[in-house]
Amino acid sequence: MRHQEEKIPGGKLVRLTIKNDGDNRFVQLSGDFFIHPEEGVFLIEEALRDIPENTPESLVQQTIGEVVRKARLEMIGIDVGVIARLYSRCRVDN
Amino acid sequence: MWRVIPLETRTAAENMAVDEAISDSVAAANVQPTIRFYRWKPSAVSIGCFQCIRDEVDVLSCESNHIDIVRRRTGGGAVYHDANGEITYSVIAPEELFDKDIKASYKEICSWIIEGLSVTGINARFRPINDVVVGNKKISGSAQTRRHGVLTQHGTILHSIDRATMFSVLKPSEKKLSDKATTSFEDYVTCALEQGCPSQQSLYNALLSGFTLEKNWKPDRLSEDEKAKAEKLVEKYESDMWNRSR
Repeated sequence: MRHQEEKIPGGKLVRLTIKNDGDNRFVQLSGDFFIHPEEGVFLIEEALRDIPENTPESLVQQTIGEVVRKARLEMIGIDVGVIARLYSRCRVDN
Repeated sequence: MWRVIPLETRTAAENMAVDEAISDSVAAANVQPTIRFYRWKPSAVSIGCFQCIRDEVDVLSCESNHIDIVRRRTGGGAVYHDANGEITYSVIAPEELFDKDIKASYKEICSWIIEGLSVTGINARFRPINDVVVGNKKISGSAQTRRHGVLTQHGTILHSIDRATMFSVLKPSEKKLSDKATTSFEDYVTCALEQGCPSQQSLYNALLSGFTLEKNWKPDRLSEDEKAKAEKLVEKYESDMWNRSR
């Protein structure tokens, strides 16, 4: 299991947990942030599950940004930049 | 016209069920926009809908202290709701009564808290995103969701603090203080009692006047339909499937 967290200055605490179990991949985004509508978090987690581990951070950010735009998610205290950073750090820090 | 449900005391699951039942009724235009005040008995920890229970809560400490744990339908952080130490409010109303901008609507509803606290002589201010502070210490936090055209915002106002219990059941990450003017969670919070408001009753009276200032309102109770919906929703808020979903 890999786990990273970051507190955005003026924002909220964001945590990302990734578990690889054979062919199954578990990705969980957690913290005290706000996403409206709340179900949007599942779309982000699903997108992260499908992103290959060696994907550059900028592309991760772009992919998640698309998900947020398409689903018209409003994010408060969290942004796509921190999600991409945490994803990259999870990849590095085993 | 606003409906105000006066201070009542319920379990954690009941409180969350009642807020959701009211939201459904407001969405169906069956009831007026509603302001509700409540307390929690037994004491409880509520966690934000995106939080992971094992990261935020010392479950064993909760169990040994007979403290309930419930997941809210709103985001935000974990909160210890002392049965004797705080007042919780909820504002449940059609979205169009508030700014479309969620951050602006936090500020508006928090201004009602600030107005109420000022009645007791407490000089508080809004600290974005969703806090009310006295000096740099947090006295109130809120969380909001918008569903089916209805805004639900709930939050707590601390009257007294049992810091030992609060920080035995909550496990806040030190990183949360990284952009705050303090290095300890014990110093990060304050309460109305420490700021000179002697009783919970006087705090409640002040909050009631702050929340209803310049509004048409009447005290009322839950409708029979809301009571029935809430009874069903209690099961959800007592279930592991909901509370331990993260």
